[in-house]
Formats: sequence, structure tokens, C-alpha cells
Amino acid sequence: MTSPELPDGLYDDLVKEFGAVKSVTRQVLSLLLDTGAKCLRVEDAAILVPRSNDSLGFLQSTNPKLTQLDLPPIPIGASIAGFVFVSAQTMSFDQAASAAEFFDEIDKKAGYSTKEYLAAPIVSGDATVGVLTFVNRVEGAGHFTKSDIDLASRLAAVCGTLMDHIARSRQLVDVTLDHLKATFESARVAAGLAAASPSGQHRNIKSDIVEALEPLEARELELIRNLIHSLNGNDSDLVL
Amino acid sequence: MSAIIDREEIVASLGRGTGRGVKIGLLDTGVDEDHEDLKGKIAASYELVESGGQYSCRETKGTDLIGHGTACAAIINGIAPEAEIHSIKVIGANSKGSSAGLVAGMHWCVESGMNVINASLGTLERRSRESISDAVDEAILNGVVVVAAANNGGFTAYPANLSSVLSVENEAMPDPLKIRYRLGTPIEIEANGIYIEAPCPGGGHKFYTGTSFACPHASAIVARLLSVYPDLQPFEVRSLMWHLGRE
Repeated sequence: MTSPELPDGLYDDLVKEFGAVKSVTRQVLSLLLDTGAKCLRVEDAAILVPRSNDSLGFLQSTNPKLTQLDLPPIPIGASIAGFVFVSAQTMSFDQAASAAEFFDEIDKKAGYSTKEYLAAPIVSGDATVGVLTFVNRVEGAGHFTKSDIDLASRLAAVCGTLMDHIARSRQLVDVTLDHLKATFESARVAAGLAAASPSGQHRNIKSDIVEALEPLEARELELIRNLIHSLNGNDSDLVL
Repeated sequence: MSAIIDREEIVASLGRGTGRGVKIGLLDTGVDEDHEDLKGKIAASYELVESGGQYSCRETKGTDLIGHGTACAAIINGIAPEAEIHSIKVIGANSKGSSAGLVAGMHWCVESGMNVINASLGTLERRSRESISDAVDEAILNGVVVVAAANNGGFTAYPANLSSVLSVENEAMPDPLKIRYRLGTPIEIEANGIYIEAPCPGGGHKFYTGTSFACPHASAIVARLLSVYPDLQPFEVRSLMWHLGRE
């Protein structure tokens, strides 16, 4: 009996197929930024997303410079966008550059001069996944009003749904590949066991885990959950 | 109590109250004590110290690298100028803080005789619900009023969504002393919290919007009531807030 093998290049094929979903979603995000910029009468709109544990970077912008230039990471702990990201609160400024938290490196590198600034958190599920920003009102538009802030928050909610879509399509690639790997692995193990044992019986890993956890008390299970949680580095859970 | 179950009288009391004799524990990002608006107005500042997974509070110089706590302290001081504000920094410079730290801060507030706890923060982690709920129970049973900001994204958050907590949503109010009470909802109070001018660390002011800034409005209103009626229990305070905020 020969054991089946996972075809080469399957992962790349999957990424390519699901990449189409991502590409369409990015186009919709781009449309959303253009529309938002027009409605809010600003020069530029952009989406910032985490680039590391402590910094944000440009995912998309109506200003191509901001995504093409090699701009420095925006520190989450020392920038307005970072504050909005952490606090999940929409903020607006008339003279952002004079705010204590303003991170001026982007202005310097991109030859920009930020004045009016409106930033809204992009929330997906229970987590903030990015920040939607609107920069510099067009001539004569004045400062941001309460209805501008509301609109920005609503647009950020739509961005959240779209970004959730992108994240899910990425997860789908991994889940599909894992599933296929497990299927092939299982078939291989079955083939090996069948060769070694005439009955061909083998145990399922999942049922082994369930069996192993069965005698544990609820308290012990909670301990395991907490341990996994802390291993995941989620000690910081307070939001402002 | 019976003498004050009269809305007009409660409104009048609110007008008379200054917060005198009321201690407010402000669980937040710290407070910039050197800001010109807050000089000499913060009774004391504390920070969390972690050792072996256990937190304790120690007195420290009041600083705030984020600005959130400074704004909240100034809002309280503006409405209840004679209330004693005790700042407990549970969120650090990197904007990180844990539920365990929040619980430790609340416990410290109870042990230190605070009358009101202002928590313009919370967690979305359901696993933290029990420990925070226990801390809130400890506070309420000791006569401490817990006021917490609802999550800005509308998600269930703790402590705000716990039933014994006075939970606050933000709205534009014509008067900082005006609240709206939504009976029968988890987030029952709407207070002023849109475009609030408040100080920021290092000097100057800016405008803040969010439930975080509505929360200190509600806490300061509670402080004003407690300064007129110091013996009120948390459930009685809730009742007065309902009288004040019913449409």
C-alpha cells in the first residue's frame, strides 16, 4: 500500500486563489477611503495597521506617497494614531502638529504638513485592528464637526468589516492547508498502521486529547486556559 | 433619605455640593500633577508595583505620559472642586495594563477609604469578569460607589457591564451637571462626553471625546451628592442619579 503525498505547490495555489478575495477587498477599502476623503472634505485619508507589537504603518492611503515611501514605524505609545488604536476612541485636532503626542517623523519624511487630523479606531470583532485617519481639511472647510466625527466612526466600522474579511480569507488559507495536511497525514498513518497491523485500527489524536482531559476538574481546565492565554502574551487587556 | 426623595431638592443639593469630604480613586494612566490646571489639586498619586504576579500600590510623583488620566482628573476637579482626587496609575506609558492591576487598584481604593472609584477603562476579556466582579462587590459592600465608562465600540466590557456599577455612555449635554438615566439598560447613564476641553500633560489643553470623559462627569456628580449627603449607600446614590437623570 503506498502512502499518499501532499502535492507540491498546493500552499502557493491556495494563497493565489484566496489572494483574489484579498485583492477585491483592498479595492473596496480604496473606494471607501476616496469616498470618505470627499465626504469629509480632506486632502488625504489612510488606514494604519499594526506592523509590530508597538508600532503602526500605512496599509492604504489616498496619497500613494505614504504607502510607497519607506516611512518610519509610527510608535503606538507615542503618537495620536497609537493612542486612538489603544483607547479605541475617535479623536480630532485642529492643529495636530502641536499636540504633545504628535509623531512628526511622517511629516518630515513625506514632506507633509499635518494640520486638521481626525482618527477613528477600526474595530473588528472584539479587537481594534487599525486606525482610519483623515488629514487636512480642504480650503474653507473649517474644523471637524460632531457629524464629521460620527461619519468617520461609521466609515471605520465598515473598514473593520472589510479587514475582518481579509483576515478571514488569510485564515481560510491556513485552515484549508492544515485540514489537507491532517487528511493526508491521517491517510499516511492509516496506511502505515494497516501495513503493520492486519486490523488497520489507529486512534484519532483528537479523541486522545479529549480522553486525557476528561478526568480534570473545571478548576484545572481553567488553569490550562489561563496558562495558554498568558503564553499567548495577552497579559495587557485593559482598554481606555 | 425620605426627606430628599424630591427631584427639586436633589437638583438643589447637586447645586450646593462641592465634593468636600469625598475621596475619589481615579484608576487611570496617572495624572500630570505639574499641569497648571492641576497644581495642588491632586491629593496623592500612586502606581502599581508587581512582584511575583501580585500587585500593590505605592505612592509616587504624579505623571501621565498618555494624557487620559490628566483629562479625567481635571473634569472631576472642574465639577467637584473640593473632592479629594487620588490617582492610581493602572495603565503605564506603553498604554498597557492588566485586569489583575485594575483589581488591585480597586482593592486599594476600598482599603484606603475612597468613597468613589472612577474607572474610565475596562477589559473585554470575559475571563476577567469574575475577578473584577468580586472587586466591585467588595467596593459596594464597603459603601464605595463604582463608576465606569462603557466601551466606546459598544462591546460588553468590565467593570462597566456589571449591574452594580454606575456605567456611563457619552453624549453632548448642555450642562456638565446634566445626565440622562436609561432605566433597565446595562449602560444606564449618559453624561457629557463630546468635545470636552481638558488639559493635556506638559501644558495646554485639547478636546476629548469618548465614554472615558463622560465617566468623570458622572463621578463628580456623585461626589457633589455625597458631599451633601455623606451617608448615602451606593444603591441610594443610584436612586438619586435616576431622579436626576429621568426624563
